[in-house]
Amino acid sequence: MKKYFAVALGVLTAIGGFVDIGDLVTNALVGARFGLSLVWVVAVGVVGICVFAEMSGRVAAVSGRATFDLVRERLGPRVGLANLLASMAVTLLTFVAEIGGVALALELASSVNELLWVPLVAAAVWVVLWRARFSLIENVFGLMGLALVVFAVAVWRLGPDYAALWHEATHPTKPAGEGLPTYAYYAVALFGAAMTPYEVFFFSSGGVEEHWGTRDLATMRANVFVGFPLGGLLSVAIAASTALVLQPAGIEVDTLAQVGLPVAVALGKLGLAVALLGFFAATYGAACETGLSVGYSISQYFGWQWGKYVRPAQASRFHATLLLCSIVAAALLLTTVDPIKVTEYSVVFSAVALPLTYFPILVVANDPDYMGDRVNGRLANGLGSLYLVIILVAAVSALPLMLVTKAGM
Amino acid sequence: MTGPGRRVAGLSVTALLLASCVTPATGHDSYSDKAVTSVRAATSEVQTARLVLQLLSRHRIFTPYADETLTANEEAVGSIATTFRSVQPPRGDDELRDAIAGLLSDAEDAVGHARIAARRSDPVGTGDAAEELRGVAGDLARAEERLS
Repeated sequence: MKKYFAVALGVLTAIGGFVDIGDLVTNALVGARFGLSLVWVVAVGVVGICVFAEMSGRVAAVSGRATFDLVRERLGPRVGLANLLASMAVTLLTFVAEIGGVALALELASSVNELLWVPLVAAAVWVVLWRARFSLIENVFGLMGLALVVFAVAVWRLGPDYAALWHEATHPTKPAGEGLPTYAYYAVALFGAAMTPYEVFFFSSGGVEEHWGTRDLATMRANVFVGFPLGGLLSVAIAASTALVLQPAGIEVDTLAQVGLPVAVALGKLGLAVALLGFFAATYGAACETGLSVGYSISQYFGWQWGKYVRPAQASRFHATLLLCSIVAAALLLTTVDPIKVTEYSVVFSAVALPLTYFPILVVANDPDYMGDRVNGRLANGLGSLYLVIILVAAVSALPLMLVTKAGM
Repeated sequence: MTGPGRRVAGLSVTALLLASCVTPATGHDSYSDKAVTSVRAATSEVQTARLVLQLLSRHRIFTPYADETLTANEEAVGSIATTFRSVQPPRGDDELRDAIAGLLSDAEDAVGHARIAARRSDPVGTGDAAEELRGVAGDLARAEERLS
């Protein structure tokens, strides 16, 4: 019974924790502008994150070490450093966006300017990272993030023509009036949002925090193969809600407030309150995950003691890194940079950094010295190799597309 | 960092900076494209404000949420108008500039009135602002049709 509960809890938190500020904004923006014609990218991204999260989770469970703990050892300090710099820069940018997202959600609920919330949110995130247990961070915000199911309920209440929606999703065509480069740019952004590097940092390091062993592989796989796709469905629901309400009115999404409007149309104040809770939980939970991921990756590269499973005094440099990240995030946001713009750029830069994150996972997951007889099988290697090609295409095209489309304008 | 590495980094930074810049209009077509982009962006803000007022009048949205949304709309449409006005029009396009700048200014006023009415919880003012927004949305749609 206890095992079933653990699996159910893991799946639920994986669903609730899947969506972050990047998914919220990018899916809403794309839905309002392109309808469901880019849903296929979400599907491709979800399969990709499942493939690599399973690999990194397996590495953690079998070797007892986080994937990136092994990257420097297996690929050498230079490759490890390149991996660290690229992934950490993107994760730090995502951390800034998540803190900004929490501040925006609080602004919408209170009418108090986001800039006043930013220092408080950064301090509150740091306190949670410092004091709260790992399982508390993972479970509480993951479960609260399930509030975003309200977007699926909103779509149902709006009573759409499901056949038309299905047709649009399965027969993707570029909408009239949109250029092919813009369509491709948002495809890359959606892919970057779905495969954000911090998700695997957090997943594999979290496995070590929770002392996964080979007996936990089934639970880990249930989280990945059930939780992540259902989380992906939440992303699709967000896109569908904006496609149904905002696209016909010619509304393009450039604020978090606009993301919640379809829920208000369908469900009124109660639905909007639940959506606000979902915004808060998704961004706060992701802020904790990205903050920890930055600390994990730096500490693992330099060989410092890391993790929430030891007392802060025993992992002082890891906790100092978390504190420094919180200060940097607050300082950046207090320059009045728009958190939504930071989010939009962070998902595109994620796409650029993807090869440096995912290639080492594939290498380590194939090394019998670490994995024994649990190395990748043919399917994992086939999918992993295919995705590396997709990832390379996305990474190479991201910046030129950003330039050509003036960042999707 | 190696020579090629430096070049790639330099090019990336330049690309990013260029991507976020407002480029000058180099001819009628380019200026017209900028006008269409500005009108579309303003339409999005005006339509958002209309939707918020509808939700407000049907008590389906919290006042702080409506206030924040309308404030953001007002700032956005103001920024769109400022950006468009700052572009140097080519010779012969002064009339187009005045027409679009006037429309954008009307949009800014209409969204501003919506924000004021929402903040005062004034049903009459909200109705008037909704009507004003409807008119501006129509003007913007006609302008976009003419320009496209």
